[in-house]
Amino acid sequence: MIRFLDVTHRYPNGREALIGVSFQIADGEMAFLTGLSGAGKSTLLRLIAGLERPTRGQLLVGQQNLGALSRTGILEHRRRIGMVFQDHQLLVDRPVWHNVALPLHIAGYSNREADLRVRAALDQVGLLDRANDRATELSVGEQRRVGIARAVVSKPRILLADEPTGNVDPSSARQMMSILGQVNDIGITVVVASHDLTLIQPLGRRQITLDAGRLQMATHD
Amino acid sequence: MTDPRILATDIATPGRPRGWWTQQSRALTLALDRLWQAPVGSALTIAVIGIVLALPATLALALQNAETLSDRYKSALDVSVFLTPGLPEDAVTGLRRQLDARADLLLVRRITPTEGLTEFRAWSGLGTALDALPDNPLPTVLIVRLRNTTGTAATNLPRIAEELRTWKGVDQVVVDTRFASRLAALLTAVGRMLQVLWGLFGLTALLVIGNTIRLDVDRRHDEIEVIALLGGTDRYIRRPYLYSGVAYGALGGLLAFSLLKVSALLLAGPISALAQSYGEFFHVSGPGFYECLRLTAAGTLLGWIGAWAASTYQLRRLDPI
Repeated sequence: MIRFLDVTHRYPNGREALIGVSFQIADGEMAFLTGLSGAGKSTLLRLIAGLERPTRGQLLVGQQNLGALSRTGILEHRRRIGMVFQDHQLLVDRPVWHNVALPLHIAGYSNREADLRVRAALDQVGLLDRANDRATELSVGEQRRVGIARAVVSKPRILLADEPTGNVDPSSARQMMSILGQVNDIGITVVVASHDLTLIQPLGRRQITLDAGRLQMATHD
Repeated sequence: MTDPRILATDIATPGRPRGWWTQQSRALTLALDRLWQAPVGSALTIAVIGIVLALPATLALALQNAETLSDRYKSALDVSVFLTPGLPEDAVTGLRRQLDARADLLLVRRITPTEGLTEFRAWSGLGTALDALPDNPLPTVLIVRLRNTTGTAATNLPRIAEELRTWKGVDQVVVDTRFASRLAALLTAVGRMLQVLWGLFGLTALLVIGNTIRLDVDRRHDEIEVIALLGGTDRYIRRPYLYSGVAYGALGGLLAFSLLKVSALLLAGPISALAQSYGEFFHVSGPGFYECLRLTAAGTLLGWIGAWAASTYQLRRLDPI
């Protein structure tokens, strides 16, 4: 369960990205964050991922209040979360296999132990045959799929995806949504930030709409 | 086709890192791989560390050889204790026992009046004149030596000589304190200079390794950020850099040992020839297994400290979290 209780987030430059936001997402749910650019979608995902902390209010993930976690606690929380970043955040000089295995390496898995999971994750996103290529040799869409494989490889409790269909062709975008749906099918809570309503609406999933940092609408399944 | 169900299974302890050995071996492999990927830069760093460690090590080796050589001239630090002429044998024995009981002194030799006269006759050239003497005027002499002649021990000689003069049965005590003081001062100065050099060159090695690691951390800022985003701890991020520092230091130490060995081999011939020209036999003692161990250990320690300090400072500055 993810619970936002009157959460406000202000950046060091004084800009308030989220203002008094309250809602909750149940375990195993798939929800879409929608809104215009600058509405606060990415900030909201970064708060759930523990990359930012609420300036005011409470953000609870399971029983944990993220605002009160220590530095060690935050890192431990991040290892339980999978995140697909808008700018990929891949190790560009490493092979795809290494990028996907990174969360397992951080968790202390050997290459041999990690191999089965990495292969399954790459197979799921259709990139098993590109395992030995460097990340720079892939297209934007393929890099995004590597990001998804890396995010799901350690079976996180929650998968967060920030504009996963941005800058990719419609066919790749649909494929991406399909993959995220499959991830949700294995019991992972999925939260996707996207402004592409034409892709989201046909899926019939819950939408949480933000407008200038305020919660505008939260539909339910 | 792989089995997608594998992704539905939880991984063991996802929050808490496990596999200590796996983590260490991966970090070590990564560190060596990074060294290998930049062969010229790595070789230059190792060369600088090697030379920096070799310089004081060479001086230490020279001092060690000089001390071996100076052992032959330790007699210069001997104290001649002239006993009262005609002192009875039991009194002489009593004085010898007193000397044996001292932890700082060693009785090297007892010269009886007869032995003394024979020696004097041999080098003075006064054989016939000495025959004219009605009695042997020479006393028994005890040659005493300091057990420890290194460092400042020799500066104690005047005090010891003064103490021996007060013993019953002792007539005169002769010691060349000026030479002893000079030798002691020289040994102290060279020893201190060596300590200062070790400090300075050790600091230089530390700075070279620290700066190399600092630049490496800076260059890999993006990678560090990605690892931190995925929950990698500072310890996880720092580990490969520590191994890099250790590798630089250990390889630098081995290089220093090699340089020292080569220097000793190159110098052995000419120095032996020089000693022979003075009628002496001298063999340069080269660095052995323990020097190799000491230099490698010193390099490893300096590498670890330099890498730890630099990576910790840089991570705090970059603050990836």
